[in-house]
Amino acid sequence: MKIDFAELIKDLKDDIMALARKTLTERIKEAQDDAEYILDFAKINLEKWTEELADGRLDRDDFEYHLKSQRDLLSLAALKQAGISKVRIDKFKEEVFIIITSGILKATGIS
Amino acid sequence: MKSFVRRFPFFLVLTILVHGCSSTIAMYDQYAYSQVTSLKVDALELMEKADQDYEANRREIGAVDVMLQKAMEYERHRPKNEIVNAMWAKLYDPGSNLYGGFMERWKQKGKLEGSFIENQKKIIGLSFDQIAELQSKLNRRK
Repeated sequence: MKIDFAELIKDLKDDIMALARKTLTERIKEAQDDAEYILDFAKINLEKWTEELADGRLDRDDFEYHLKSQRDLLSLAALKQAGISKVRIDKFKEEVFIIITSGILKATGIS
Repeated sequence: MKSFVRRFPFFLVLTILVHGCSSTIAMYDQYAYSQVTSLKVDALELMEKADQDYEANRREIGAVDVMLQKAMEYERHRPKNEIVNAMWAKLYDPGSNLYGGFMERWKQKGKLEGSFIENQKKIIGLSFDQIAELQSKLNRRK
């Protein structure tokens, strides 16, 4: 049995590139949706607190405390996104492994 | 076939390199996930009582604190769990303006106002959600 090495490499490369594009597109969309949700929440809060501060329903100390809380929440959201990126990298590596092994097995006629 | 046999080590090394690199973050853990969701409920319930005297609620504050510490201790011993640990540390830190900061403020002021508590409950609830959402997205063992 003759194996076309160049063809095998090309197929593997195409499959891995397609997977990389799909993974990246999905990840960007997921991160954007999440960021939008958190930032909308922050925007609504900031408008509300600013209004309450202006008409005296909220004192300066509480206002500043809430702002810092919002900042800390955003830092947790950023950590979560960093974690999800790592999860996607692990999944990508696993899928690349499957592409390579199944490509080799197919080329050798084992599978 | 000869060509493949000659290049087999290349494929072998490539495969090992891709798969051999172990995971970069901890795997999903049902217990850890259920701890976050359960503690969120307990923490928010306790926060509602912050319009009462801190001293009068010391027992319950201590009980939630112990549960939080147990959850964090469990997380600390999970490998490759640095991000989740950093999130818990931020949430629990009395110097931050999340759960730990809220409890510290309650302690300092004796009691807190209803509107302050409501605003903080939303933020702290979402903070617990950040940890739970990351936990829920961790890869499952096959």
